[in-house]
Amino acid sequence: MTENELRRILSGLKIPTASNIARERARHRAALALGRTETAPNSERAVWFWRLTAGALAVALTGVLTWQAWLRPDAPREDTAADQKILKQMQALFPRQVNAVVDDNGKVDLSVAQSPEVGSDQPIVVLFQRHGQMIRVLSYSGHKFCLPLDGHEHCFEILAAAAGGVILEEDDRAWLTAGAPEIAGYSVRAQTLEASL
Amino acid sequence: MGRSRRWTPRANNAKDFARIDVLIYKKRMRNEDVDAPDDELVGRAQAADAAAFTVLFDRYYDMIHAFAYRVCLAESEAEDLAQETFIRAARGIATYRGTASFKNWLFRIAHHVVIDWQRQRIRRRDKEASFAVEMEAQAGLRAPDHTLVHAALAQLPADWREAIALVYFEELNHREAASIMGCAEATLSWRIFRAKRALKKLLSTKGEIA
Repeated sequence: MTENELRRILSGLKIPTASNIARERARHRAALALGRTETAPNSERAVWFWRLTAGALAVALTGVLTWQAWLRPDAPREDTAADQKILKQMQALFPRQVNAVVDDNGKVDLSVAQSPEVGSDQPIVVLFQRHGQMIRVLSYSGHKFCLPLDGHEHCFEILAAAAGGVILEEDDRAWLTAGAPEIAGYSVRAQTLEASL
Repeated sequence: MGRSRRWTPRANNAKDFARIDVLIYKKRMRNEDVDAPDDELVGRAQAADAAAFTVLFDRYYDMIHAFAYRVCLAESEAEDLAQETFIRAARGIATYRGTASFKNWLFRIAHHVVIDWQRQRIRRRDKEASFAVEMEAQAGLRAPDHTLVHAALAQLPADWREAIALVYFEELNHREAASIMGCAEATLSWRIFRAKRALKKLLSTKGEIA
């Protein structure tokens, strides 16, 4: 195909005329957009831009730091009383049978043993968090519990370590939760509850 | 016979007179603006002169609308794309430094608008846009040659159509078109080559080319 042929063929494409309504609407909106951008001189606008950006960054940083402080391993401490109360209630219903209480964003699941053999000497709370989702597990040292995490079932054994630390074991792996490990995309924190149950 | 019409403002009070002064000023400016060069109008638009920007709008709207239509091949979408191009141009006119002509600067904005349109199209799984193109091609409301070319262009990828639109309709050279599309000149030439080959194949099967 020669250039002339191509041009001849392409010239056959007729362009529809834009409607007056569309044209006027576009003109009006563009004129409004022009007014919005030119309300302040460039230099002054730049100063305000940087001031606002710095302010927004400061607010965001404060928010992030507050959030991180809130999520530190010792953060669940204020729920300790509630956790202990839940475990007490479960123990009252199923004496020496409670294996774990799993609270997945308000959906509570209870794991109990068939016979009353389960020890309940050291209660532990484990938190799994990801993108606003929080799974809270109340269980005891030496117990095993299973959770669906990221589409796969993970089974952990929890052990109370020295100085209130908690060790989380899964098959051939183990994590010390004081280091806030990440498991299957969830950040994990845990602490022992007071052995007052 | 040949009597020219004059625009005669009328006013009833001082407030109206003040308003009319503004209108006379704007009208006079508009008449002078029509022949003003782009650079002058752009400079004034950068200083928030809406009348200057409106002249630029009127000067280039049809060109941008036609470009948008040649890429998207749907009337309603072309109007939306042209509008979005001018809104972005208005917002970003302060950033225009005159390194390229104002026309090519507008084409570059239109190119980005087209890219966003393509992304939206992909997100909508091409349903609405393809439907619009298909309906227009099937409607047969235009001349047969239009329908054939329209249908053939609709078969090409949008970036090939854009390259064809810039080079064959807007008469830009490959270097300018490549600059607008943000690609290497060789890439642009390759797109043109492939588009031509595809058009030849598509149109020859439909009897346009012997």
